[in-house]
Amino acid sequence: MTQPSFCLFDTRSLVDALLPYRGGRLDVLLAEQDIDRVADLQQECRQLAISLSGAIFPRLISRQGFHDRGAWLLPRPSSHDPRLISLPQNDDADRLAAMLCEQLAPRLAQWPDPARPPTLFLTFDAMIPNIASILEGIYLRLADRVNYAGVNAGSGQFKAMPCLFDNQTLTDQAVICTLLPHNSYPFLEHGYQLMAQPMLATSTEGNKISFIDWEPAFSRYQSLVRQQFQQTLTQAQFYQYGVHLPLGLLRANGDVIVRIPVSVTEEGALLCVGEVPDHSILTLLKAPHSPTAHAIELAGKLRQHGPVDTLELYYCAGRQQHFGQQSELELSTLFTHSGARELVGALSLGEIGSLRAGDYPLFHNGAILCNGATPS
Amino acid sequence: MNNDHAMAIVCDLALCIGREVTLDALLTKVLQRFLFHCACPVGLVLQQLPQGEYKIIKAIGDEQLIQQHGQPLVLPAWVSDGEQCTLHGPIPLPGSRPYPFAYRLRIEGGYLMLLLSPRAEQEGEQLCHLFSPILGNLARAIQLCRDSEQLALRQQAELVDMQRFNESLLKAIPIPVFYKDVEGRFISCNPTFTQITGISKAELLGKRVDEILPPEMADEYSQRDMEVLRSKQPQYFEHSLLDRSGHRYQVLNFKDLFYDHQGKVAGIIGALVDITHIKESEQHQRTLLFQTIAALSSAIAHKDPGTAGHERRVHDLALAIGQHLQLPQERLDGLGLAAMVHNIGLLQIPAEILTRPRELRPVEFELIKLHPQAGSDILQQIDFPWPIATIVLQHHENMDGSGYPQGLQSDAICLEARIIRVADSLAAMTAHRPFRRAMSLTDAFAQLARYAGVHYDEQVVNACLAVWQAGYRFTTS
Repeated sequence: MTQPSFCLFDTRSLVDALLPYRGGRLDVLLAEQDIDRVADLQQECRQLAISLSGAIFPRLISRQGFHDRGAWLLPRPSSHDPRLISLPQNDDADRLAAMLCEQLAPRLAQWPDPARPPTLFLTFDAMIPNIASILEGIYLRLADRVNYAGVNAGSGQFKAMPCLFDNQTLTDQAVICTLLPHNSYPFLEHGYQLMAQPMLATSTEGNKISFIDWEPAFSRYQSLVRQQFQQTLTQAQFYQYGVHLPLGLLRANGDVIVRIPVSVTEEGALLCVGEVPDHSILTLLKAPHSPTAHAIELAGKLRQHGPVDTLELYYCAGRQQHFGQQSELELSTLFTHSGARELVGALSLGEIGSLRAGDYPLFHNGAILCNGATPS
Repeated sequence: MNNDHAMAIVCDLALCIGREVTLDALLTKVLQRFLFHCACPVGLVLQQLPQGEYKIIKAIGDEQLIQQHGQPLVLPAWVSDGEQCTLHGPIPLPGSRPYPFAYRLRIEGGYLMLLLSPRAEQEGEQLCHLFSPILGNLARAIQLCRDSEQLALRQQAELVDMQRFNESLLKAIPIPVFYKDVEGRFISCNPTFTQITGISKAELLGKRVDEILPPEMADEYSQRDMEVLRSKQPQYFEHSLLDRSGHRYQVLNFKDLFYDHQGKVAGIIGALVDITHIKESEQHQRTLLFQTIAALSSAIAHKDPGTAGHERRVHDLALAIGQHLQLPQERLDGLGLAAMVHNIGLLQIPAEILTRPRELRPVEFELIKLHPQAGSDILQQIDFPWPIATIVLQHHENMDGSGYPQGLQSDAICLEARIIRVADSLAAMTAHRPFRRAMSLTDAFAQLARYAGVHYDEQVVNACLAVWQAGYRFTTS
């Protein structure tokens, strides 16, 4: 199979870039600034009989760091068979999960070896407000018939935007479901830690937190930022602070699930990517300090599975905002320590996976998701 | 983890317990939350059976264990008993996936929750202390859900019984029955309805009356429905329908409201009683009655051949006046019969007085004046559906009280008698008698006009004039 390639649209003809993949299957990670290239990609792929599946991310990642423009062209085996599935906005999470599982059932029934289950890789539109609940619904139905991993695509400004595509369609409010072979092994790490006292989300609905400790959520968040940074937070600065001081859902085993608040509504409610269950106990989290410690740890986990050829990586946009320039150091540390020969990836807006292999799968923010694969 | 964090987790678990009302939803939510907190991928809730075995009543995260739902499961004592809340060592469970570690949480009422992990946990005992305050609440929540579900099952069973009884009742009723919602959409019907109309329950469902009946009939139906809904009183009306073979038949349509469990109007129930035979029988009886009356009337004519045809003329004119006054058909029928026999009392008067070719002496006239009472006496013996005897008794009463036999005034005299009074007078005045010549119509109407409001009802006189002006004429026979 041909190798992944990075395509900068202005320096090389698209046809030339796509020709090596003629007649095959291709996943495309497209930078948000090149969204207007989708139609060309679709047309050229149709002409070259390439089965296309793609998602738009705020920025792309390579060995050289972050890229505002371009596209990763990732050749896939024919068994990959991704499905772009629309998610009706008015359906609840359980109904959507049931619908997705129904569509996946025939493919799972034909999976050659149930003892070596596939990884269900889900690429959601980040603007879907109940991804965590949909994931729970899928886990209830599919249990250990699959392993779970995934990311959110979309705009870095968290605005609604068609961000998922195949040969014919460019759409929003959808998910791409892919069954990766058993030899893939996704790892997820975030390194956020408990900091402040617990707070109660006294009114939440999906991904919207209206009240914290019976105070309007933004007002409460402002007072927390004032305590930590001696700054008065405005709505315009909100995301800049949110990435350093995210909210977290506390787990009894000491782990936290990160929820980075990304915007404020007119009523002063906070919007997150991913739900906060009703009456959740929230804590303020401390973002990781070291840009290398978690990268080394993650690389170690990857190496335990054997040599990595191409490291496919999704890096939370909020984490990148937090680390700023140092996020490139985290990437290069991870890449170097993993021993991989190539690094492909994108900034993501939410990540699905487990902090430890075989754990209960959850929807995270602020994480790095590595999707490695041992030679099959 | 500090005390605040520990309290936060206890609160989180306690809150998730209180939200569900069915056992499966409760166990799903609780297991999901425990798995979330323990980072375990697989959870089981087992219920102890009387023989000591267990059965899985909820499983999450392991397809093979999910498949074992409801199956009896023998657990070794080290798994099911003992005080330890963490288990180390391969847990012997169905399926191929090994679980070297589990949290074992005992729930009052014979339940056991196992949170299974492929990895050995480090903080097991500490987490169990966090969970223990929750388990008592969970036991009560499980019991509440069970009670609630049993109650729901009983209610469901009662509902099914009631539905089946209603279905049997509807099936047993030999007349068509239908019911519809408050918007007028048919909900269902009984088999007899389908048998007679040819419209099945499925075809009827959701349709409005204008989709199954012609517009004029549908309008009346809809108006009756509105009336039932407005008045909340039962309504019934007669109309005709076509059966599945296209034959027209008469029905009496009963409609009433039915109510939901909150006492709110839920729709209209209707029954169609086939009255075709009753109507035909009624018509036959009425025909017989008319024929009998006609025979009686001819008896009068035989007694006084000089007035032959008088009854027919009075009958026809009285009906014309009644129609002009817009009397309903039912009343017109009574008026016609009374007009035919208004002089039946003359049968008791000696024929020579009736046929005497001169003006009557006072004593003879006094005899004649007995005929309304005599006629009434004869007719009272027949059970008419109309007040024929009264009409006949009053047909010589005057509006000013100067008439006979009772000297009644104005409204004390029934309308039918006042009509016959005018029609009788006009017919008599314009007919030849042995003792006088026939009066001209102009003179006769002048007489009517002159005594309008005195002898005659003015409204009736005007109606009589109007029908005449409209072209009405006496028949010559």
